[in-house]
Amino acid sequence: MNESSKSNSKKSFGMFLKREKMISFALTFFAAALLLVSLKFPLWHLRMEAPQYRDEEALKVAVFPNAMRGDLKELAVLNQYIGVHVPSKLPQFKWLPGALIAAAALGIGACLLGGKARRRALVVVAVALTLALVFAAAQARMQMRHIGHHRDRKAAMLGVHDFTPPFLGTTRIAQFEVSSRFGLGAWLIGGALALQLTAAGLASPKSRKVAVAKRIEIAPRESAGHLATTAT
Amino acid sequence: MKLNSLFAGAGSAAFSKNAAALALIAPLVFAGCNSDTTARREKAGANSALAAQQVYVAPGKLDEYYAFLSGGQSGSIFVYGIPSCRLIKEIPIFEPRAALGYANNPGSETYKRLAATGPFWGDTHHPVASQTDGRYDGHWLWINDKANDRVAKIDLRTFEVAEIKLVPNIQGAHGLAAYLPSGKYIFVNGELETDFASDSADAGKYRSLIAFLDAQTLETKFEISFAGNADIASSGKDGRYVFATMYNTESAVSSEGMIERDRDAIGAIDVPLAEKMLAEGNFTKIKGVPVLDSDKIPGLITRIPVPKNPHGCNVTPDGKYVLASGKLSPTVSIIDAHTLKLLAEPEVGLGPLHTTFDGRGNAYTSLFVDSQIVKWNIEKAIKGDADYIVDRVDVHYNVGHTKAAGSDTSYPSGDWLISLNKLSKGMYLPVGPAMPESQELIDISGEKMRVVAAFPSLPEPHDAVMIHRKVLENYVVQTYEEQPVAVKSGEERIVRNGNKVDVYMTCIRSKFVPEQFEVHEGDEVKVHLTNIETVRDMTHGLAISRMGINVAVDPGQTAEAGFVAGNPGTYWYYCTWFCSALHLEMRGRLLVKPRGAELFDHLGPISNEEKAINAAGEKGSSSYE
Repeated sequence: MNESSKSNSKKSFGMFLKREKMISFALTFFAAALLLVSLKFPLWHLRMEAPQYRDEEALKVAVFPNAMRGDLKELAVLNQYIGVHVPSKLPQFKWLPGALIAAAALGIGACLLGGKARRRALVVVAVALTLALVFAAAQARMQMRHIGHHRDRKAAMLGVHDFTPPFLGTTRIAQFEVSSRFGLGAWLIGGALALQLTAAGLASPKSRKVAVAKRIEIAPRESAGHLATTAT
Repeated sequence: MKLNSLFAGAGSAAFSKNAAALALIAPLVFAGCNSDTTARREKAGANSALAAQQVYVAPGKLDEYYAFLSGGQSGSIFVYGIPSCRLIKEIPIFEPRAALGYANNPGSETYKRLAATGPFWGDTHHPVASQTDGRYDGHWLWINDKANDRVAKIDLRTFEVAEIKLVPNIQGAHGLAAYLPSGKYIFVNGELETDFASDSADAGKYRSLIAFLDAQTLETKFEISFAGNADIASSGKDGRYVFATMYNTESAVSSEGMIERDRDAIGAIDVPLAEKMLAEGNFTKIKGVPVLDSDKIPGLITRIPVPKNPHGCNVTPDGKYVLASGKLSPTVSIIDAHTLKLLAEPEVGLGPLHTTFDGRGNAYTSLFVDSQIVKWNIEKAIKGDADYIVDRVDVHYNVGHTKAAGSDTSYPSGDWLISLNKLSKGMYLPVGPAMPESQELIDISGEKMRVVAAFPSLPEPHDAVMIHRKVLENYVVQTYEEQPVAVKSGEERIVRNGNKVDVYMTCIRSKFVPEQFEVHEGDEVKVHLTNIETVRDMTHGLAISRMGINVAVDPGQTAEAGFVAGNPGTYWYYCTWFCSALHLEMRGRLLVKPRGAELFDHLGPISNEEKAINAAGEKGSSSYE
């Protein structure tokens, strides 16, 4: 896009778009951006502290949408004593990044649709992503329970009982105080969902009515096709 | 030592006199009728409480200073934390020590170099720390071996020996110092005279040498020969002169002969002149080393006469003066380090051996015979002011070296001083006739010195260097980077070549891989062991029963050890560093089979036959993925 056409499209946006629509688009794009950025950040943190693993030496695991990183080697070494096997790959890693990218793409795609359809599409995408995340989290909880309950019964240490690592919060497992919390990635996704739903809200008839009442001058409505060309 | 036996009794007599006095006073105190004594006792109590507070470093808290104490006949360096006086580490240098340092890596280059330089024993005296811009940079530490004429360099990233070299021609490699300010040479004084040129027993041909070594490679770059001997070393700060005390200008071979003259000397060696003569080819090569003859080069060594048999040689932090401590004379000679003029000879007490500085113009001289540290003001002594003595404090007993923090640099910190005492005489629980060496920690931050702690050590610290922990803070490594020779997990193997067997092994809690290997009797076996741990402090060791092998590896480190397999049989190997809950189970088997017997390599813990036997106990694996 050259300079003049860029300024032209800016002008046409400024002139023809209703403010709400503009905000709604902006929010949708912002939400999409957050979803894409979230791929690079951990969704979830686990921190394990024990007398010999204090402060900066605490064991840390960070779960990203597509990978698990941190002190996995040390964890594997320690786990052999209590017969625990922590997988280095989770099935979620296969589809979670795709789901986040798809949600971002579909959100932007929804902007191609007019008013009501756009709102519905945004809501559907947000709800679908939320369901996917809830599913991933539920699966993770089951995996965590499985880790602590399907142990090698011939492992070295006695006196360590079956356990479920905390999904959120703090528990004591053997000598460790284990705490978990959401990571930046999770907050980014949460923020994206909130933005997308706000965008959907702004696209609702009610808010449009309010907008119409408030406006003295209403810019002529542009076609979806025109919008697509200016937006891209 | 002659002086020891002469004066050893003095300190303890004084001590028992004090004890007797206390015994006399005690009844008065208990009667409660002597308020003076009570007040004194309260003050003493308060002093003890203050001292206790000063040296108390709570568990888990770190000391302010590293104190590197030479280990004397142990051939080591001892590392203490100051002010807590806790022993943190021994760095074995000339005497391999099981479970410590390179001694556990007989296949290493360091070990081979050491073995090539002389016997597995040494006498370390003077630790020297590297400096940049007049401050310790915490990179290197050098130390001499007086008995076998070697110099070693310690890498302070790992606190391990990095280099050891023999100094050719020299005998009694004693005083050691870095040539300042560049630090490109480490120079070492030959204390014992020989005919190094023609290796004869003719005392008439005896001379001594001062050797200049490349500070990094420890190659001897050149030596300066002279009649008499050189004892303790110190460097000027401007790159012109380095100094050495010379107690045997008589060139005598008996102790009576060595104390004959009323004055001996402190020698000033003109290093740029030596370099010039070297460049001009004005030298003779002896055993591969260029030797400059001081008799033929005027000005190469300037001898400044000082009272007989001086010992300590110390340049002040500002580089203005060099001080020769009198030893047999109760004086310290103050010499201008640039003009080489004797400025003053203040009396400080009996048996002054070494002098150290606080950076505030005060000198602290150890008094061997008086068993004291005396604090005195240098400028006042030069001016001839009567009140140049500031303070005296008793130490227990017969102090040799004394060293204040940063005293060798241009910026001493003036807070702590260590008194390295030769005799402890009942300072600690009796442990037989061989008593521990003793050090005392003295607070020199105030006008008055205060002895705050005493701590014993193995034999026998001579000198010390204190380096602030901040200097080493981000420098000391805690786990090794992967070395090129490292055996990687999954690449463990056994390589046979005739009767030579190389075993490439890894270890991590709580397993050796392979957990079993087979050789023929008489095979030359070399084990290459890599510790594949990545967390700090997870050291493992590999001891092979009855094969004389103990290889210790820190996280990330690789070590090698070789042995000849003995009689056929089963020899267990096991982890020597307690590592984990399965430490005792961390072991494996060396199976020595008769010559000609078939050998199997199985990197798993057990052979196929044994697997079949153990089939019932197959390990359940996690069903989850």
